[in-house]
Amino acid sequence: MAQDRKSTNGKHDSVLVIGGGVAGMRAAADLAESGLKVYLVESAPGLGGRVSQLGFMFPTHDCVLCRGSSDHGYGCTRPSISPAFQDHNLHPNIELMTLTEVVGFEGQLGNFTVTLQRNPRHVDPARCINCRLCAVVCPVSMPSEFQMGMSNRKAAYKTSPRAIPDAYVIEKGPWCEGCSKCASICPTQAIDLESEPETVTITVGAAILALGYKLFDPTPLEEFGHGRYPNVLTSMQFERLASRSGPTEGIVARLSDGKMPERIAWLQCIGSRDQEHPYCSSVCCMIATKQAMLAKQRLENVDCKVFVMDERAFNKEYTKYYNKAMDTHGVDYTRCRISALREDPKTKELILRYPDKEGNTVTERFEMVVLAVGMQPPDRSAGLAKMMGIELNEHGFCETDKFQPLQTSQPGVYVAGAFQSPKEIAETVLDAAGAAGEVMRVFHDSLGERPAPRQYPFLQHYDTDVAERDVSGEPVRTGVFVCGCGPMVSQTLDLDHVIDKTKDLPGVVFTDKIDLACFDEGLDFIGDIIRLKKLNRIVVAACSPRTHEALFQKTVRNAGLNPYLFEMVNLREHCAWVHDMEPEKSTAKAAELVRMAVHRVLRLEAINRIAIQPHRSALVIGGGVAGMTAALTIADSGYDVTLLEKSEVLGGNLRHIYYLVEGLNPQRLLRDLINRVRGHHRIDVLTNSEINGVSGSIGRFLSIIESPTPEGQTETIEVEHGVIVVATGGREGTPAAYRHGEHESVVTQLEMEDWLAHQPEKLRNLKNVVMIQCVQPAEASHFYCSRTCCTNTMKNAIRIKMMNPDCQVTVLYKDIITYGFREQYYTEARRNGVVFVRYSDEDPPVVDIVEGQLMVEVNDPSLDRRYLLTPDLLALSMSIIPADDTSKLAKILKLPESTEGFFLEADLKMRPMDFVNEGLFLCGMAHYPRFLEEAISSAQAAAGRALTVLNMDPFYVGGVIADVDADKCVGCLTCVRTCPFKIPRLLYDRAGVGAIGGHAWIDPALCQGCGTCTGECPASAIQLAHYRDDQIMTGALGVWGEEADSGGADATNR
Amino acid sequence: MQRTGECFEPQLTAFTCSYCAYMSGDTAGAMRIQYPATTKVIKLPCTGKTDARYIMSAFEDGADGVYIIACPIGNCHHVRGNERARARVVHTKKLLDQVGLGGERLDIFFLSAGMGESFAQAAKEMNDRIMRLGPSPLRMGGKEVGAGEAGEQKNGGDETGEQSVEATQ
Amino acid sequence: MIVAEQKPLEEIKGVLGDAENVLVAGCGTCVTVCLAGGEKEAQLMASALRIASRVDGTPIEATDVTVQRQCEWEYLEMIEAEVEKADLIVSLACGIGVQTFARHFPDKWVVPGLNTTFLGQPEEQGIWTEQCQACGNCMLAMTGGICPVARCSKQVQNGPCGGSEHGLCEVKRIRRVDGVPVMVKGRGGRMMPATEDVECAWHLIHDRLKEHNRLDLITGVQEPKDWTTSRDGGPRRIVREDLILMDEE
Repeated sequence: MAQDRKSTNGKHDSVLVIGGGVAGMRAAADLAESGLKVYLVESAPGLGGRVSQLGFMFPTHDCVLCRGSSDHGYGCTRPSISPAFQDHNLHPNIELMTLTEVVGFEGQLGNFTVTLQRNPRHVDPARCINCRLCAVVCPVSMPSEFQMGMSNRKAAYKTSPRAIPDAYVIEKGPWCEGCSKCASICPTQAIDLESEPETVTITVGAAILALGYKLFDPTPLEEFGHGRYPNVLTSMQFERLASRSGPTEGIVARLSDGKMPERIAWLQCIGSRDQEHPYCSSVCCMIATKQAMLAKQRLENVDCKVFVMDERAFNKEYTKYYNKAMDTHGVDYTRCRISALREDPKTKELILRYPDKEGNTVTERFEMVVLAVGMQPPDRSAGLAKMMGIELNEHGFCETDKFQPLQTSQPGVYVAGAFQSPKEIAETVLDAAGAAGEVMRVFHDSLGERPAPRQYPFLQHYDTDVAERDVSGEPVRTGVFVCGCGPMVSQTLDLDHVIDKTKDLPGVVFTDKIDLACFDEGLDFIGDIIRLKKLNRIVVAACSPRTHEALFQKTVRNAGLNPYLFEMVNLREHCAWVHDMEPEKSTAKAAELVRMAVHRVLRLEAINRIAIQPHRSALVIGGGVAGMTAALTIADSGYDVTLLEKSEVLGGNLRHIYYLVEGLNPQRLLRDLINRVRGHHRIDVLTNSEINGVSGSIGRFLSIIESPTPEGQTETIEVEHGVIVVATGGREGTPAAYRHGEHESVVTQLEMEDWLAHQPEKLRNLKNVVMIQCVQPAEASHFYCSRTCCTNTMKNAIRIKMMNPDCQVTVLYKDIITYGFREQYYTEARRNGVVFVRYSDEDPPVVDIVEGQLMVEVNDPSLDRRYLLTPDLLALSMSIIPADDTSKLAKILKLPESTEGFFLEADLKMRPMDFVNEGLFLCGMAHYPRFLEEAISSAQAAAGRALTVLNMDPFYVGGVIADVDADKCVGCLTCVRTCPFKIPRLLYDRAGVGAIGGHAWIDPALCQGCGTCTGECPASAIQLAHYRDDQIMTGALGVWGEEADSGGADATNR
Repeated sequence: MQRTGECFEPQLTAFTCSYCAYMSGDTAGAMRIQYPATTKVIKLPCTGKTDARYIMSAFEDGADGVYIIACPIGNCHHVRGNERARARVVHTKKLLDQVGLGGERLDIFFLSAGMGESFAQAAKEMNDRIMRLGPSPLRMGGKEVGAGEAGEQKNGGDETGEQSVEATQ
Repeated sequence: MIVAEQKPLEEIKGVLGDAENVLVAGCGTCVTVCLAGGEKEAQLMASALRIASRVDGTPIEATDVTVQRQCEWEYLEMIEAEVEKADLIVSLACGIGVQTFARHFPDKWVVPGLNTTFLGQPEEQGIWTEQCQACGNCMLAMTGGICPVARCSKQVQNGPCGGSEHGLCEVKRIRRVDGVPVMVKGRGGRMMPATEDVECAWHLIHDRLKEHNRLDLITGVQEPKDWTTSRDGGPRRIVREDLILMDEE
């Protein structure tokens, strides 16, 4: 099968990703996983982009970028999103180019010639040991961009503590006087101040633009006083202030006097939804909500007031989050746009004036004001777009087609993230994975050509010729290598003393000092000694395992040892650098840390991951636009797809959508999709079919499907496949209020659209149409924003006004959610005379029928005015609910559901298309209500993620995972109940302790390796590999020194 | 010889996860923030892995104090492992009170990777607390040699650290 | 299953006497499942006793062992060697296990480490509720699977009584965490145990029968319950002729 997939057509299999923020990293990681070569180009000195500056993400208050990783093991927190981006663990298929600009771009799809200018870093990352000496001696002090100017940095600096590349940079800008002190003091001669920009030319087949956005600078708007009044911050400045890695480690204090503020105001839409920026930046409302909640948590008795026109909380769990901000935290929302503020020069308080409900002007003082600044196109995007031949829209963002939302006007160039339209992290990640999916589809011939199957915890290529030595029968022979880190460790610690204390410890047969273990000479030395002395346990006492463990594990593996027979001791960050005032005590601690490691390696064992050969086919559940798009992306890439549709026809909701607000005809897309799916030789469409059961896990699923035969019988089919894409969609909820069903003129928006399309003549008689937004359907237990309805209402309102300008259209709403460029249709609707009246939850509209006439009474809370309307048509915007039987399917697939009843993904922000259950992917409205173009990009994202699995040949699971000892398991269900990922299951067909039926089982393909179950298991029946009880309770947990060794473990292998 | 607070060098054991908590220690290092060299760190995949037996084992091995550094509540890489750790600490503190060591010798801190200052602060706080409480009564029985420690630190088995017991009860 | 919780260590220490070799014996069935006396708890208890003895200066050496079921002597036989070495056994089993121990090793002194609390069900991780009182005469068929003997505070047979209000019982339960009553400031500033609401079992029974259209089951008056199968006449015994071989007379 793999054979017939390959038919080289000469396309270049390299991809250029421009932008190293969250979108660029996500796209690069997926492309690399699929076996394509990636050039990841970033103009800043390090990866991470804007996201690396965010302290917390709404609505989970996670900082946890490490959850962006889909495999086990390390995912660094910040700024990296995956083990693919650890400095010494960079994915072998990714070539990272920081401080690099694209200066030339020509050619066409499959063959672009790209000229890159690589600006000098002046520090060789391969030689930089992060000793900080250059920054210490640097005389320049300048504002830190990372901390938004709220603290200073040197011209020799690191962009953030865990920057990738993990090295310093010298900024030779106007601040630097060229004193060369940095170059003189560098202990590894890593600094070259003379280096010049270089130009390199690469050839790629495709490019992904992940340029991100520029923050709106409010300083020119004098009325807000930013830059003049110290207590007026931008939202990004507040973000840094509240961040634990910020200038105050998260203490929210006023910049003017360090005082904790007691009253904070957030002013929304600064640089959004105005004359110059007629679009919504999509994220600021939620950022303000998040920041107000954080302030409430951090500061006692703080008053938080958000001045907002419409609170746009329109994604999964966001309505709940917004309600929590109001109800639990007492954040106050005032529906008003503030246009100016004043400062009290004495107290540095800010004075705001706004109208209250009665129309009186209120004056209120705040101790801090946060300006929620919007998104703008990135600085260089105009020039770049011109060079690359890409059309921009009127606002300067990338223009895309609704039906190909990630495709720019230049074939072979894709776009992801905020450069396409202002959007949040989750949508950005979906775009990035989707763009990667599109590239995989186009370059399907080259997929898997550079395999990196994650056999070992590090991803870099190892020497595959070296066989792994089986050491299980050997007596323990431990080698201890103590690294002096140039002078950084050796100048503080007495390493001879450490070695002296170590050499007689159990199992130790070799000890030595190395000057710089991480340099090639050091690594070669370790490898040589391992072979020469036949070592079978290795301790490297050097710097942090977080940065260097993978590097040494690779060395150990290349010397023929399993990489888990290795332990790293952190003598630098955890010892020499933090106790250099007490060298003797520091040396004592170092010896103790090494002693602990020696005792630990005595008990370590080899761990080998399990190879899985995936079935090279996919099951896509749901035949709507998302399911069909995902099926086509996978099938076009050369894999068989079974497309399951519950109803008798393909198309889903798209069958009932006749026009888009942008004016396009979605029926054209529908016909095209159905024709392509039906005609595709790799897609097997099963209509009227449902899934009845699934067994297996990632790579090897077996599904049982009920499908009708041509004779009208139902047959049960078994299908083997490697991945599952869930695209079951949603539907308009059923009205249960406002007299729907009692009066023929009360219809849903979808019902109205049907006759707007098919019986437009009916419109002529209408004089008064009322639309009610946010109608909670009968099926939903609570209200949540379905995010598409407001734009849909604009679409229908504008259409009515267009066809019958004399008809009065009144929209009753709570918040208008027309995010991104959809804002312009809100503007257009108002310009066309549509009237908008706000209502509140406490006082919803009342619909009556008086002598056959509809009467709608509504109270506008912002003006405290009552309206009585007599519509001849009342249209209800129903919340979109999950497809019927979503719960049933969730049980079959063992997937969780969100509070709204949609499928719940692995992580709301970083993995919106993945499930915790690996091998299953999510897209379309099964995830949450979304627009057509969003459904398409999410389907491409799910397909792209699925392709990374299907391309693996083989892939590996397991490693540091929990294992249940069936002979000890009593089947108590504690692990089942306490696993944060709900992975353990009870296997009733297997015998536990005493041959009693049923013991717990933890799927090695799914276990995340946290060990929570092992900590809870009352029978000690679960052990985590590499962290078994005996490997932790080594007898060296307590009192220090070799005296504690008496009675220690014997120095032989288990 | 009964050691007093002045010549006594606490020996502490800290369990961290390998995510934020361990990295807050790395951040302290990168920022060169000084704190007492009296803690050794044991890195686990998640603080949800810290078994009450590990804590008790450290005390049995003679540790004067034990603390856990976990990711901030709500930010655990493994969703709620840090909350499990907190629950176990609460439980084990009670046990330590009952055995006479005193629950004060055990604590938990929640730190994000950027909080180097707070990592050092936690080490200082635990160090100072143990200085005040005195050495673990379990350490008094055997002799121990901290490699860098000078001076006679042996104790007769009959002196059982009543001081510290009183201090915690 | 049988639900138990650990005794305070102080109480256990108080009954150790002058024993030097203490064996903490865990049980691998019910008390493991309710996280009170399994292998992990036995190890922890042994560790705690060792630490306590070193703090107190007493010469106790505590070790641990766990068997699958302490209530069956065949399992106890497997640990005879460990038991032999011990002066005293702290049994982390239910009361049955402690008694089996005492009976099977007549020359050994055994003390309980747990309080056997009730027959119950885990509601969620860390919360258990009583469901059955082993009255020996099950009436759940009449009450829709909800037991008024275990779950009605008054064990009323014809409920609900006049103390049922909004689905709650007038009798409040003392709120305990880890076996210890939670104290709050009451009227007049005196500290008193906090209480929590208990669902009225008869209310639940009524609702459930109504849902199943079986209210007829409780419309009649229930005759007084036959309690002779319960704690009437001392400890109960079951004889199953189909399972035993009778000695020929």
